[in-house]
Amino acid sequence: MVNPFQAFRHYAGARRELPLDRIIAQRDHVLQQLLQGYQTFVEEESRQLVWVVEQGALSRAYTTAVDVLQDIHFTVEDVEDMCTELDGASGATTPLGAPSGLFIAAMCNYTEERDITLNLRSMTRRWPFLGYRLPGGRRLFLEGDVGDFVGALLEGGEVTVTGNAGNYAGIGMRSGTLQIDYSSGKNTGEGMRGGVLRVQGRIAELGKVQQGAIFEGDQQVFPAAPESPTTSGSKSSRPERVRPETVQRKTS
Amino acid sequence: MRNSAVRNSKDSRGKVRAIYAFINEHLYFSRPDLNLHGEPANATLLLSLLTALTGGKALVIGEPGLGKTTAAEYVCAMVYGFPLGVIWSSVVGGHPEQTEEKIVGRPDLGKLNQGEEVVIWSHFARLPVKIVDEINRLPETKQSLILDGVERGKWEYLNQSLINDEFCLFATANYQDQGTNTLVPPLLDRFDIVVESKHPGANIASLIGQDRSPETILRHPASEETFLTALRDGRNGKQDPVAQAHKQFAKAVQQHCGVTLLSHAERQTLRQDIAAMEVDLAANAFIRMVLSELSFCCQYGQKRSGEPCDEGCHYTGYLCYEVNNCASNRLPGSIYRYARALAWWLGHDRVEVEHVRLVLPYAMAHRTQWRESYLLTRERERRQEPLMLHAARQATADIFRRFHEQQHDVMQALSLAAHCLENDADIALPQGDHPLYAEIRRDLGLE
Repeated sequence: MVNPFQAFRHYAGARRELPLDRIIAQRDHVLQQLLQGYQTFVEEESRQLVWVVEQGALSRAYTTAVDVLQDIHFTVEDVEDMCTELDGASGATTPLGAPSGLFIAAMCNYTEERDITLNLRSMTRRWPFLGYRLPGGRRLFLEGDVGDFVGALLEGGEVTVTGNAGNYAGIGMRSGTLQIDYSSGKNTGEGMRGGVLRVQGRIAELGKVQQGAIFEGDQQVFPAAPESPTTSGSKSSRPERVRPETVQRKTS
Repeated sequence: MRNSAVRNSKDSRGKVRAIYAFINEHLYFSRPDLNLHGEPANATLLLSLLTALTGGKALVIGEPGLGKTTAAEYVCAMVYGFPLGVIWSSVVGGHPEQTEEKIVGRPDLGKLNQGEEVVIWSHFARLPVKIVDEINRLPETKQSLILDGVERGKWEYLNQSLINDEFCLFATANYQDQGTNTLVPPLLDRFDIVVESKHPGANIASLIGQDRSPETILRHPASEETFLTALRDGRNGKQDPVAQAHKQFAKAVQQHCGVTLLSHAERQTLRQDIAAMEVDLAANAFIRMVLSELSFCCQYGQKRSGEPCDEGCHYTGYLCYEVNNCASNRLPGSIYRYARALAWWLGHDRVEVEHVRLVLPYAMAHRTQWRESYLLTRERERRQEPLMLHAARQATADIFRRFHEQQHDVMQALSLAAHCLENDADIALPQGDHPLYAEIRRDLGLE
């Protein structure tokens, strides 16, 4: 009988490689590098013994994070993976509130893509400092609620939060836009020196704003509109801090 | 010796390509609709040329006046070295009053009066170039007249027979109108490929008729007369007058068109080269997948016309569910013939999946009877071809996608099956969902 398969007798095909396998392996490798970098970063920060949110500590931690990330080639997908990893981390990767947020912010500032979207709805943690020092030309979309200090020291970037923001939103921002689709917490715009902060819902309390513009809904709440031309001349050139009780609220 | 053969083959390819270019530029204006590894080509012209070269059978369909017959005539004139006048004398027209005497041959009445039965064969039966114009105007009952002839090149009349040692067949068919008939499936199946002669588009069409009639380029009354006389009188004297006429015509074409025609020996060598072209394993596996999808039925053993499989069959996602008939054994022959010819045309040393993928729609379109629901889904899709070719092209794309996904597994299964059958060993075959796995299990007696 004719063997109809004879032509294939000596076939020895190479093991099939799916492109997806290669992509997953590559992403696993990058994630390992990022986790290792994060661990180095945490160890460096641990030497400071007590982590205090003050300008010097922030700058130092951010610089360390940037140094750690310098040799890692990662994409925006890796940023999301890293968030997920830190959100569920225990033991090996220690999630620390502020340093973790700064590390993610540094990743957002140094990834190749200009538009970054992070889906935070599925995360249990609320990372602070997301959007920290986001430079001009970059857009960060944060889906869901965010923690404190969102958009801190914003440097021309565009941050959009689709949920609520915590306290100190836009703290010290210099330029750029911070858009919060729902409400923000206390001290919103604290130390703000420029840029535009828009809160579609309620602002629990404005901080000590220096410059820039803050909107609550459609209404500009900083600088507050002058009551009359005659009285405005007698005021100090520094805009007066607007307290929540003086602002006409718009319920969202 | 080997080097000489390779050089001859290259020379022949150069001549054939020059013929294609000449027809494309001067005789048959068309728009490219094929992309052959970055090289644009017109399917009608290229497949007609490959048909003439390999001795295949092509059904050319299209609207009236779009060059179905003329494309075939030009190709045949240049590949076989006959002036157009001779080609025209052999064309058989399809019409209801067509008779065997007009198609095949007639008795020599003079000799018959003397009590001798001598057949005067028609030019159609004698010449290697066979063109049936408007074949679908032949009634179904008369289509059987040419069944054997087109299959084997064997013609019979009054207990005499004539066998063509080389021949190619072109049949043209218009789309359905009040004067056309349905081509019976056995006749359709005898065609290797179907191709549409398309409208070239307004811009190219506007060029037609501006210059002198292209027909005059391939007319050569002097050699036509010699041909026709030689065909009438047969060999008369020491020299073969037909061979002489071929030389005369080839010389005229060389002078006027700058194209060197192929000799009989070159055609034979070229045909052998094409037939000897190796088919690589992936292409082989792809053809097996195609054949299994077009012939397999898990419920009734194989596809049979009139035995449509039920809704909800496990293999609903495969083509076996979408077709009503079974792929004939002529289909693989046609696929191999044209895939090899295409690989030769492109100067490749073996047939690869891409070659098979390119010719498959043309080889299966006229042979496949699709389920009505399948045609309904395809009918309104945006397309550049008639429905039958479009459906076949989409089906080819579907099978190719499956092949691409499972290539390694399928080839591994075929390899294991080879070992199984040879050693009678009990080897666990890779399990797969494709009908080909079921066919392998059947061949190994496991089902």
